[in-house]
Amino acid sequence: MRLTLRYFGALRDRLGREAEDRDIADVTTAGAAIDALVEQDSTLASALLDFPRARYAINQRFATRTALLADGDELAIFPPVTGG
Amino acid sequence: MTDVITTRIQSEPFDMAAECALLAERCGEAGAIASFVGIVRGEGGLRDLTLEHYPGMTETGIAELARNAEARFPLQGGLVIHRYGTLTPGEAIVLVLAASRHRQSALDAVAFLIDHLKTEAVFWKRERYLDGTVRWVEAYESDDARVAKWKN
Repeated sequence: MRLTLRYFGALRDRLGREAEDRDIADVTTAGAAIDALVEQDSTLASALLDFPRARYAINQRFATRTALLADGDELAIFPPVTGG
Repeated sequence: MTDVITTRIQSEPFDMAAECALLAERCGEAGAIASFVGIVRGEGGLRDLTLEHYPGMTETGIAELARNAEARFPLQGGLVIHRYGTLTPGEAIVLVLAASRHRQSALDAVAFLIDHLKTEAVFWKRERYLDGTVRWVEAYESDDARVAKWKN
């Protein structure tokens, strides 16, 4: 399936990119997709090691690693939020 | 159906007194309006603070939080304004107002809203100091604990 990835905050700065489209085969959940992306991309792998508390959103809603993904979804990865 | 609590995400400054007066006018039945204003602290040689947001998700999340507060507290009205962009020390970042017949629900609703804004509102703060240092603000675990106390 094709996913649009978006990165925010310190993770975006660390990666030096804010969005990209990626194709991933044979995954159904957010966690599996992220594991597959990390396999393909050593920059993302090392960045995520620096952000062990990273949060996810699918189509702009908070999601856990077990949340289901569909073709065309927007998957965002970002550090814990610091609003207020 | 009109929302009880209005929510706005904006880069522009807001006028606290004017917003409070407008809410009072809109909520003729209210006996109390409670407020919270978050202000950029200038400590440690901070030059400015930039709030990044996730356009779409930030607005949706704050609107949902407002609906939760409406369901939980007997409110006549309310307002949440959260700013994004670059702010300097002394500038107001966030305004929360809640209008109710009685003070306790107004005060409680404001505390509920700001505690949840801290952990759920989709913003990231980046600080820039006078000496040129730039650092992203880390989330506090104490903020998660404040939200946990509302879960009963």
